[in-house]
Amino acid sequence: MKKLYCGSILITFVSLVAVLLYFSPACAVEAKLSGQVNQLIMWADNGVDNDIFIGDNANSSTRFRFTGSEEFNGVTAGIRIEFDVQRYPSSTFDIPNTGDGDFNLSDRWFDATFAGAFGKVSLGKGDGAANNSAEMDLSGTDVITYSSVTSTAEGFTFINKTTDLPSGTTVGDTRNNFDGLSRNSRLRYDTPKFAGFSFAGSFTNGNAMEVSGWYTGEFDSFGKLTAALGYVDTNDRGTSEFKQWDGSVSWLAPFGLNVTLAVGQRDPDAAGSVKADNGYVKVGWKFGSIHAASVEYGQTKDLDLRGDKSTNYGLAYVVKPWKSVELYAAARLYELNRSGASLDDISQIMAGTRIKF
Amino acid sequence: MKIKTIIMIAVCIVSIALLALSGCGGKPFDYNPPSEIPEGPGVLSGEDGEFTLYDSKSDKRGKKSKAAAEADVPAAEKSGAEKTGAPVAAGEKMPDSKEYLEFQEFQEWKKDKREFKEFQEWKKSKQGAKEYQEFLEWKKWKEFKKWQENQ
Repeated sequence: MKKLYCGSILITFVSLVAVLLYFSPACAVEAKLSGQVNQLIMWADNGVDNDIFIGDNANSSTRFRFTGSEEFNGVTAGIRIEFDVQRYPSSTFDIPNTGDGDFNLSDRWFDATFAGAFGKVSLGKGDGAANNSAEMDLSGTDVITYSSVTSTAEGFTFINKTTDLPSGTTVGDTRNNFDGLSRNSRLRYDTPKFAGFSFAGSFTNGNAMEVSGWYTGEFDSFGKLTAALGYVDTNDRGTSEFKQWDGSVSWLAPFGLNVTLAVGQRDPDAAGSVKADNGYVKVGWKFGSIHAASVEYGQTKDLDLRGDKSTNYGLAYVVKPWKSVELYAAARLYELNRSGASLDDISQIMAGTRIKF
Repeated sequence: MKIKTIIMIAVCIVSIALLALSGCGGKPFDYNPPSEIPEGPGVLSGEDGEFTLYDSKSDKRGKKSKAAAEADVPAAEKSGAEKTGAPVAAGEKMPDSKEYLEFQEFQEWKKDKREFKEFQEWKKSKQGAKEYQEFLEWKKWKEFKKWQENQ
């Protein structure tokens, strides 16, 4: 079934490319460069010690990209090559802070696409079909807080209250929004939009498959609404195989109130393992055309150990004084409730800026 | 009630709500995920938010050819009044007067288009909607005064 599914996509893709390239002369070519710098300063406390960090905001890392497109009769062939250029990503912070961390130059996108009335076919490294389906967010504060709560805290280790020693469990071990497989080398197909709805499917290395459904709509009196559902089957990809579904919805009212919800569940293939669940809610307010503020709550259950309840609370404020510049501040608290262990909470206060160039 | 049941009910409610809303004429928009580079201008790249390295419609980077400009500028705009005064960039070849004026008109049109987009966004904002309403009322009042004077 999988082979048939992938074979059909591949045959369609190759046929389309061949026909279009052979019969249609190119009529417009564009090549563009863009990027952003996103840096933050964070104070964090693990219950025993605290420290200050300066590094890259892993919510939306520092990066640059090249995009290009060539338009044929009704079909646009496109490329996207994008690199992360991170010095000390916030997802790697942990106490004690001993230096500037590592410099990472990594590939985000190596994508070739063909788009037209038939939809869009993508080949190469890029978003799997279900990536971002748990991360719909219209709050305007997503540069510093969104459902991927590990981006600013993945590396922090919980401290055992009894011994005051590291427990060996990090925030990243116990939290996940069960979004799709992120960016991977895949063959992906996106349908055209029908009244705001679209669907996508992708196949990636390790026989992993992702499918998703998307909706975006803007209404005069109701505001903006966006929603997505995703499903992942990792098959043989990675060390831990699982099936996973997720969904998120975000609504922005015309007067600025916004509500975001995200849910997800992972069902590991390993015998005897337990399903893990995640829920996330954010309520925010956009005001004065350049300000946005929000509060959030999220919890992941049973991810690292059966019975774990890993929770976070947060608040965030973002101001956009100029169209290309965002300034932000946020505070977050992470708790881990584990049977048989008493662990300290981890708290963070952070501020930073994202500048698009 | 189990969490799974609650989630399934929530998913069904959201799906039904979306289907119902889609029937109300919502306009689809392009959603930009939180982890991606935001839409909009850049500090160095300006309004486009991207450096144009190559554009087949342009003579060179960032400047459209006469043919492309003609294709983009509506006929009504092209027949507008002649505009003068924009300096020619250093090192740029001085074009003949017709071409030069046409290019200026194109630049003006691009600027107007940008400003009009900003105006539309302002009108949609809370503050803008209020001020725009006031402006419409003021216009009505002016018409009324004019009508009164003519009586």
